[in-house]
Amino acid sequence: MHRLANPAKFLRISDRLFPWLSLLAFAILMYGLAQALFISPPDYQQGDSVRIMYVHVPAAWLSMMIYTIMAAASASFLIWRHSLADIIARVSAPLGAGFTLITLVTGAIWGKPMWGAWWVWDARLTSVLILFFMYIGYIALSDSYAHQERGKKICAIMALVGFVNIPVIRFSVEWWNTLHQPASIIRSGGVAIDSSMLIPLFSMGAAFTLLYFCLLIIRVKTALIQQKIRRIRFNSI
Amino acid sequence: MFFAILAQTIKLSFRKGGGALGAAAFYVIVVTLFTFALGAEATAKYAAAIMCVSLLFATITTLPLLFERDHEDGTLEQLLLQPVLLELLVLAKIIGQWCSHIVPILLVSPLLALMADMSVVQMQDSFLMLLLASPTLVAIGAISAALTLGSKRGGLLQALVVMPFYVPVLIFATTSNSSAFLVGMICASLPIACYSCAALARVSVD
Repeated sequence: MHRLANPAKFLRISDRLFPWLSLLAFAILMYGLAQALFISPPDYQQGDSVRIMYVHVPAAWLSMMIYTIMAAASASFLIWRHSLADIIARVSAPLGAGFTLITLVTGAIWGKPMWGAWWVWDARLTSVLILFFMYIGYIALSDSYAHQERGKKICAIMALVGFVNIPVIRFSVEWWNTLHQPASIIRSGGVAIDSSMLIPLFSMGAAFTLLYFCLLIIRVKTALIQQKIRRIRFNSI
Repeated sequence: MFFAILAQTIKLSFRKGGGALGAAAFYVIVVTLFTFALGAEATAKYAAAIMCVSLLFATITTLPLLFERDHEDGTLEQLLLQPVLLELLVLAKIIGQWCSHIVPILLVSPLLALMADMSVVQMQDSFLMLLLASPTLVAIGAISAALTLGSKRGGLLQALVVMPFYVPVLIFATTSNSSAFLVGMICASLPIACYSCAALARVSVD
């Protein structure tokens, strides 16, 4: 981990990894989409609208995973002062906000025919909405401190404070008896989904995760190049 | 030192330009605005929720006063140099802020409850909820105030940053029988606020 924290080394390794990573992401995404949209069976209750789940659930996983990564990167920035960790946390925020938005929108589209409403104020929906607001607040904060050394630490502390929401989202369906269905993959008593639906779900999850890492590499590279440009401009004044 | 800071915070906010009663006035105005918009009947029904939301808004308006002036006139730097734990001093500032800005609001709310035609039991309930929710509101608000220290557009940013953290407080403050939750939130948010505000204050000075 610490060896990778050197930006030059990161660039070298990510340049070598990126083509394979993006190819793999594309292949798994195509496979997952084919499975999810055509091959997997329709649900006996929900019919074809169950297919929304193959986008909704992976996006929800990602929305929480990205915030966790942001919090971990922020912590490692505060402890070891890796400049790369700060960049990873900052450029992840818009990606996380995007996945959270996808979660909310697909959930609403699914909720209209299933629950009869676009939105209900249940614990999980509300906590995911709060997560979305948190991403927005973090982006606004990091924008207002753009290119300031102390802004990095301030954003890192905000990301860490906001991490309290992640366990709340994860366990909201178990703590409060709400409309949103409880967890069916990671739970005591084993998986509660048939493999014909599990395979597309997991492949979409893997594809989304790889997609996130590809986008992350692109954004980190962009941020590093921007940093360099700023430094050159500053020196030439 | 702790009590000195506490007393100073309270004293300063009641002096001219301190704005301690401004928050209470703002609170009364927001509640009245709600009554105009909702009409008498709905106001009586939702008075507790209205008072909660108004308390939240009033708390947000007091946030820029918490550290901003100390940051501008250099008091914060002096506090950093003291041989006392900065976390303790932050706690003193938070308690002082609560005493000077929130207590007037709490004192005026029974009056508003009377105007909204609440029964005595309802009044007691809503007062207890406001009492238990307000320390958490100030503590979380202190974090956002410290986050935006020295940033150009602090006010809007503060409201944006603090909102997601206020939602759980609001939910528990407006559901009945949740006083244990609110007490738990006070216990959790105060230490988190002390530590993160102290860390942020150290960052914003250097």
